[in-house]
Amino acid sequence: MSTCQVLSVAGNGDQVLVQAFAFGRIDNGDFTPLLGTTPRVLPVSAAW
Amino acid sequence: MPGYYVVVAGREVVVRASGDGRVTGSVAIPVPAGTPLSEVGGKPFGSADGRHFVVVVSRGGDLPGVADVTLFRLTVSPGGQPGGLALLDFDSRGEPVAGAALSPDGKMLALSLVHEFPPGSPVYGSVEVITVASGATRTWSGQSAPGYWPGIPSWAGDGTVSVPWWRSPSPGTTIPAEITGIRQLDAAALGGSLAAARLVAFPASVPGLQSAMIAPGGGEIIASSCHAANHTATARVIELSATKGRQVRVLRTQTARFGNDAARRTRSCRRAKCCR
Repeated sequence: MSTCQVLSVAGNGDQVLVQAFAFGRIDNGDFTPLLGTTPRVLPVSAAW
Repeated sequence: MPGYYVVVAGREVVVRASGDGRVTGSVAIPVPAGTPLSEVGGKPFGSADGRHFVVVVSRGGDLPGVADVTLFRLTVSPGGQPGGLALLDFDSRGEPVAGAALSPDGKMLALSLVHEFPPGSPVYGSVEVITVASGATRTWSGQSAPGYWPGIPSWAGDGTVSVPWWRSPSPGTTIPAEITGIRQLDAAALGGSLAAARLVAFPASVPGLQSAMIAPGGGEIIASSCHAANHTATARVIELSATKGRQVRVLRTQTARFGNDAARRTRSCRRAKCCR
């Protein structure tokens, strides 16, 4: 599994869970880091 | 924004609040622990309502490209508490499951499987649509289209399954690869050839992608790419048109330095600063 992954998409693509090195959510273009597994650099398996 | 997201961490499914990441509940995955020779990993896939999930648990072995797959359903309460994991009747026959999607009414499950064995042979895939209550399965096989495979499925209403149609740039490899269009399957049909299903072909393939998911509604694809050069890795998350494949916008660009001369830092940036 890569650390550059689109993990889950909601709301017509406006909300995305993503791992682009860091894991987090993109909400209308704004990235917010989120807690996943530790250490954070590991690939995260997540969905909403 | 969905209220909660689920994370598979080892043999545990953890539910977290989307706002701040706090844990609202967890549930153990009832499978034996992995070993160094037989690792266990899981991946969740959500549904349109944000409360129903499928967890794909894979156990690898000595053979690359072969995995023993177990599927579970999970329901998360409005308050973020997970219910029990319900085992689904499914046999992947050793083929890894690349993606899963529950239909909006929760009655059917679409799966994408990718056949990568033996290593070095052309990759191909299949899509299975399972009636959850009965376990009845219909299969669309892509064996007649070597080098192509279906990506993570999504539902357009309760009757159509859409999958990105991937193509490998070289035999035996899957990532990075290119998306050539979108295959659309009639979920009420009896199955058949994946290559014969309707294809919304892009005018030009989109190369160099690591992952992609079709957004709810089916109009957009959210995809990622990652490139490395001169001790810098760049990850991008982009939005593509699901009908033309053209790039609509860049959602996220993040760079990271690596190697002996790299500073121990990462730098994130928005499109206006670094993505022209």
